[in-house]
Amino acid sequence: MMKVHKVLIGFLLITFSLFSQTLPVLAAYDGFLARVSVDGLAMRTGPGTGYSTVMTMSNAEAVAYPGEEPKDLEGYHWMKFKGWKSTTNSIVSGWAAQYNLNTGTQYIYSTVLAISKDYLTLYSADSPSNEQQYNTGLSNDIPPGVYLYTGNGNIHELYSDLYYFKISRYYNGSFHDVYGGSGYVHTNFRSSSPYNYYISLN
Amino acid sequence: MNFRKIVIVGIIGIGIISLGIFSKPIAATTDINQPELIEGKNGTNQPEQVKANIMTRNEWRLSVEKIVIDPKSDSLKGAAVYFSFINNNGLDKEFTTLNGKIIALVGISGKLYEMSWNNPIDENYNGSKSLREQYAKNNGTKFESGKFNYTVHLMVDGAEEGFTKVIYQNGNGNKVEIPIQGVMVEIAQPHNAK
Repeated sequence: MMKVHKVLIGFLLITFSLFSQTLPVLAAYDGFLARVSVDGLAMRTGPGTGYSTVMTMSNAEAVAYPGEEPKDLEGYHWMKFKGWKSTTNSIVSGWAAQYNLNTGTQYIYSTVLAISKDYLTLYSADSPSNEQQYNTGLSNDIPPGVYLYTGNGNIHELYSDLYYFKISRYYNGSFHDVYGGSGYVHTNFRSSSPYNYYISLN
Repeated sequence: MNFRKIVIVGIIGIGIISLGIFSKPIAATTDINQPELIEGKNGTNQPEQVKANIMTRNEWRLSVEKIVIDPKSDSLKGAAVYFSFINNNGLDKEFTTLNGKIIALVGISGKLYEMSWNNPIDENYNGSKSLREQYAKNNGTKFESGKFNYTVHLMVDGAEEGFTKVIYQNGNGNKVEIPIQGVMVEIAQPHNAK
């Protein structure tokens, strides 16, 4: 009788292992993609002009909005962002004025359109150790001039320390459903100049 | 003794159930020269008419335009199949009955390649309108609401040379096989991608 029990338990274990699938790679989510629209915008240690400056940002610079609760202080709408500090080659977090509460002038926009500036490889994961190239049809790569988007109201997402950009579809005169439903492209946001990005933001 | 019998029957039963779950659908073996219409109704009294590379409904037609194969390794290839949806009432007319999605392709080898990730065509069409308009404007081309170019991407076996049929699933879940014949196959060139 014990033997039968052992066989049964063994069989159940094998069945269970067959059914259990490999867990997907967990993405290191940075936040939604946003774009600085003025030169000299300060990122500060806190929500107010009295806080010290972490870094100064430039027009067209990309930042991530992790989703922390905004604060309205001193006539500005303050939001917390993550960005690339070129002088120290590091990712920093801080608060910046997203818009002026009195005039409505915006300093940081949510991006509505991202366009590839170069051939981009589509990756299955947002981590170099898990990179696996995906074919994109026109060639091995997504070609320049392609409109990249997530399909969710063009709210773009950044993953893995501002280095990967998540897309689900793209358009270049033909509408492309990305293999597997979504993928990641390098953005080169870790750059000394925002104009060196692999994608342009609008 | 009876308990043993129950256990043995149970083991065999679970085995059969597991086999049923794990086994994937096998590609239909329709003769591509005589395409078989699996299901000809889409729920709107618009029967799909099928011939090589084309499926036609009252308002629109779907054509297979191009295949791009990307040899990634000896064992794996990327592939893209380009389609166009054309409004039969004119290129300036918006689609009103566009629906369904591309759910699978059958390789020349006979292997079925399923694509569960593809979005419904109407969702892609409607959701991309402003983007398509903007793209046409930025590229100096004419925006045509009655034409929708669409591409699906998949990975295939390294020995696969192309496809013999595409399987479209209409809005009611019924499947239609569209034979692929004589469609140009391009081999993708490598790029120094970022």
